[in-house]
Amino acid sequence: MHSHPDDKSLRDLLREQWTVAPVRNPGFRAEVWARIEAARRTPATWGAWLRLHLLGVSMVAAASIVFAGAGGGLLAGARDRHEREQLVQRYLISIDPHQSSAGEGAP
Amino acid sequence: MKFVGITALLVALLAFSAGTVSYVCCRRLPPEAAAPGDDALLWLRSEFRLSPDQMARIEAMHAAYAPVCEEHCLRLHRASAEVRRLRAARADGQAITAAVATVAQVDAECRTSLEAHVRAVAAVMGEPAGRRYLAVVLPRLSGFDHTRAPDLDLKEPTHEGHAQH
Repeated sequence: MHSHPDDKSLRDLLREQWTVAPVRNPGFRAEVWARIEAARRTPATWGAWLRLHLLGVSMVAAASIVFAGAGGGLLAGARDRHEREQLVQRYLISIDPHQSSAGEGAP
Repeated sequence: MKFVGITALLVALLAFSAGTVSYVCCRRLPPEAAAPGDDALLWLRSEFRLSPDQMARIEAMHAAYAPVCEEHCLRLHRASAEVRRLRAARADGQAITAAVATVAQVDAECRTSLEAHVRAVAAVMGEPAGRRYLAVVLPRLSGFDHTRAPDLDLKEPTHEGHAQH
């Protein structure tokens, strides 16, 4: 629907029907100033942010490194055991061809 | 929020690097262990820290044992085939019993010979490698089953399965 800006009937209708009842907010100014202050305190650079959160970031980084290191070690151990088992089987089959069937499930 | 994202990314990269370094440092087997191959002695080479002289002696023993193993397999194959043939022909019980006894005898010879070979290899390794080698190999050999099909192509008179020896 298209209405003309100088539509008199619409203007009259709005004047009669559209009423605004604003609610008073006594803390409005304080809230605005608090937000301005918070924005002022936020570091502008990543370095400044990091210095501000150094303890938390350090702890998270240390925990992540420990977990990842332990995970890498466990993964390497599991892979080593699997490959060693294959090498042992290959050797046993070479001296005893029956091993391929009898040796399955060996520890 | 942007700074949190950058930090999280860096921490993740750091953790990934730590995991990779840990994985590489904790691997004990050589890289060629993962590759499929026909080097049957790679296990001994990679795990027991044998001297070149010990390894050369074991390789020679391994090669020398191949025809012995081949002969045992052929004899066992023939003896088992004879038992099957007699049973199929409904031969008399005494003949079947004798054939079964032959299978058992060849089987015992094979086990004895194999164990002697393994113990000889352990002796070349010396202590404590030899004891560790026997601890892995002997329990598995005692569990083998000659009534199952071997992992080789039994064709007379050649024995292609032993080509890898």
